[in-house]
Amino acid sequence: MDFEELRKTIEKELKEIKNSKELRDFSKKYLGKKGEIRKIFEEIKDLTLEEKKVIGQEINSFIKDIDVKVEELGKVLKEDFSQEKIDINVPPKSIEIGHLHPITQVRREIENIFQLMGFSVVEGPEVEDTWHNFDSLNIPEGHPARDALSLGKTFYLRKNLVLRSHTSPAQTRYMKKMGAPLRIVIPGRVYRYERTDASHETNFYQIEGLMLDENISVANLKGVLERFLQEFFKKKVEIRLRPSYFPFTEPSFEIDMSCTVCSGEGCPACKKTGWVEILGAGMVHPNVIENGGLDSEKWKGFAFGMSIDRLTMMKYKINDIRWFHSGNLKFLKQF
Amino acid sequence: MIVSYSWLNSFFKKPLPQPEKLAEVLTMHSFEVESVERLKNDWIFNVDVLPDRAGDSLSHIGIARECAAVLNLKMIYSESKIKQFGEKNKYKLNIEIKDKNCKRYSARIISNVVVGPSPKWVQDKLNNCGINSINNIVDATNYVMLELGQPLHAFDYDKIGGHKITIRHAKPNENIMLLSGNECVLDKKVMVIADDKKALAIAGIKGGKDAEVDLETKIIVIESANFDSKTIGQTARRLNLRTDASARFENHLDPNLTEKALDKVCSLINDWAKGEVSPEIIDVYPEKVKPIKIKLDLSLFNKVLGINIPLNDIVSILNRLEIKVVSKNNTNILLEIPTFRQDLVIPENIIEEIGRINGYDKIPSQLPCSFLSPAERNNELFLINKIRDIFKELNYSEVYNYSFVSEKEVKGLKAEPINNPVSSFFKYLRPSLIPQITNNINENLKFFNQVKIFEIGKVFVPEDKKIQEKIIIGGGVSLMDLAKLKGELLCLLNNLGIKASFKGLELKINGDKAGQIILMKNMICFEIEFNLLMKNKKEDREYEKISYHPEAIRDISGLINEEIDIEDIKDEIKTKELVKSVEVFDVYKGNSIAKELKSISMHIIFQSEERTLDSEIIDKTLKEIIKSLTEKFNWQERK
Repeated sequence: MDFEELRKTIEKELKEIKNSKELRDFSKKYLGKKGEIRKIFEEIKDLTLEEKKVIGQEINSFIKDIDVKVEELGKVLKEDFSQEKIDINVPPKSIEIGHLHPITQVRREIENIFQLMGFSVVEGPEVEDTWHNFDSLNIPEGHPARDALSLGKTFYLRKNLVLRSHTSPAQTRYMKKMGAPLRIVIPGRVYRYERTDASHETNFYQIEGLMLDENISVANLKGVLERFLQEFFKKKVEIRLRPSYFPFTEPSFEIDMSCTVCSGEGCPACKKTGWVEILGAGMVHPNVIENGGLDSEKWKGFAFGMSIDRLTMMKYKINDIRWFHSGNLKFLKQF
Repeated sequence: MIVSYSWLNSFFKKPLPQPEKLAEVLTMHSFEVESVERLKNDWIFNVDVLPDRAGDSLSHIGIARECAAVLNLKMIYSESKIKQFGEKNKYKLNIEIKDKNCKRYSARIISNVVVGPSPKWVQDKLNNCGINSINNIVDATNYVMLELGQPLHAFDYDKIGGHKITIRHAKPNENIMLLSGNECVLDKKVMVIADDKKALAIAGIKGGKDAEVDLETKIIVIESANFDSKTIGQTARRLNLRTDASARFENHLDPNLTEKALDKVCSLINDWAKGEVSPEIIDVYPEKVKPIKIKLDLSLFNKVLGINIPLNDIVSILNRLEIKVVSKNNTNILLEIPTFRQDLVIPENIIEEIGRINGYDKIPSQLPCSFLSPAERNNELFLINKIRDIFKELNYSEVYNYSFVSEKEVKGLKAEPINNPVSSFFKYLRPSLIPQITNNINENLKFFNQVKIFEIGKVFVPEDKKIQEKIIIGGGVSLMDLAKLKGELLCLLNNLGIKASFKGLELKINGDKAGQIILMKNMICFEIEFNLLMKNKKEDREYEKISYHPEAIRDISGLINEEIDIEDIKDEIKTKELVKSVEVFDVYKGNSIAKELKSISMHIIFQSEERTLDSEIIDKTLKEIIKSLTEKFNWQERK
């Protein structure tokens, strides 16, 4: 085709464009890589160098001109979909946002519930001295519980330093720092020397709770924990206390919660008992209160500790604790 | 502890509740019963006796006492009747305690015994409880241990050199051949039972071969002793020898139990192996343990438990627990604790006893009444959570990695070693997050085209006197777009109210280095110190007036030395009046310009809050800008 002829056709068609679809069709027909205008270059390849230079410049400036016009027209027609047929069955594009670690999410949820009940969230060091990790909690050298924890369960560092084997050492730290009355939760990473399997890890997460006041009883411990579990599982939950032993509480309890899967009817999740062991708790031992620099005659209170990993696993029905430190995005992007 | 239901029943006139029911009662009031199984004509309970109660409850009588207390039942204590006594003082035996960790040593001699198998019912009963039958003498000692909780040991009298028993520290490297056939080398910390020459047994843990009772044995010595719990526990763990005896001794066994156990075992041997029991008991008991007294404020029960238990009920429970009420008035109660309950020392112990026997289910659930003080915000956690959220908005996913790394991952940094690592992969406390982030990215690139991850965690920096814990924000992206990553990090900081900039790959806040970008072959990683963000964050923002006057934009391009930081150029321009912002839209280095130079192009946006700017004033400002850039940075304007 002759260039002049093409120029006239193009200008004519451009004037007749009424909507964005026609504009797209027009652009595709003339301007694209395989558009009509490019074809002209094919046709002039037999001309002399001088002729090519002249006509080439002419074509290029024409293309530029049309490009500008198409762009301007595009702006005008942009929002006008009225003449267009939109494919309403168009498949959605997948859009990505980031993901927070499930432990982060569950930890926040737990912290929020306790904060609403007036418990401040504080954190303790992960590298602890043996006094805070053991002695301050009424676990002196030679105590069977100390040997049980320290021989083969605790990671040792230089001198008298260990990686904390529970969040409890922060109890006396904050008694000394904040005094009483005291209402705190202490979440954080703890360490145990374990052979890892689906339910055991060397690095895991606990949250410790501590409330000291002049009139705090076992009934209050029950009230606070029952309320917490109900808020967390968003269900009516019953709890029961069983006798237990921890050197740093007296009396000590193992606390069971009515199974949230079967509501206490009995199912595989609760081994048909209707109850699930959920945390350990007790009334703070007077020696611990004294070790925290407070008067154990005046101040009484409760403490409890539970595994954040376990609550997370229950919440999302995760069957292997090792996923948490896997760094595997196939797992992490599910949350 | 394995407990036989029929054995328990032998302590009561009235039958106990059905096995399942009894298990439930024990679980809720005493110890968790982990399983209940039918075995021949009996039921076998696996009872998880709590550690502080091992001294009194690792026995059938102990569990029976619990049943009696919880169910309010009367127990029958049968008297042990010895039928055949021998001649008085016929056999000489000298006992000397040289190690004061032996609190009591009682013994009795039985002569003319006929060693042989035990009666069938005894063998069955022991088997049901997980103990192998050996012969009628050893079986009798085990039987009494299971019934009363007192470990006993039988020696062959004729094998005791010099007929002298000494309880002493082992000599360095002293050897003993144990009953199990293993040889054991001892040290000075181990307490042994010895004759005039050699160790015959490791005290409270295991007997030796040298004075073993065999089929030829005619005269036996039964040892019923009490040892310091701490010593036995530590020795048992150190030698890795945990036995039925050590489990009982390491938890405060009652020293007053030895006599009763001796009577019982002698009567059994009398029955099963004939023999004549020496009328006298050889008993070395340097310091008799007497019952202690605990004084208790009565209001404490209600105060701690949060429930009103009538005084009558409290007294009834105390009686059932064999705790004697010495005196009481309206406010106080004075109690005498039987010596078999060595775990009861402070008032709180008594409160626990009352609480659990009365039933924890009776305690109501009651939210505390306390002053309505709101929780204090933890600013550090608040900031960490904000950072996490911003990363999430920037399409980063959060990972958690272990605090432990291998030698390879330490990569020459100073790292704190763990004395007892679980494996060589977990030998050090991590000094940096980067190696783990790098692994995470590489692993995930096997399944994902693009990876963007972050972690907020602690690193551990060894110092002379301590190990410093530092919170670090680490992360990485697989997309090799440095400008984008820098932009994202500045976006993060800007959202925290922090003014920051990059000097090459270093992140700077107020001139301090706050972080570092690390360029790698197939990814870009970063580490930022949380402390500096904490120090510089600003939560208060001030509204910036929005001008109604139009913006004017001018572009400038120029050449500067490639070493010059573009941020410095921007800062300089921003000092001029009317300049609202500066955007760099092109940086170029290449053939067309001298090697040591780079070309920059910028939009400068001018705006006034008071008036519309005319081109005259803009051009004037622009000239000033170029002039100062030329003076300060040797800027060569490109036209």
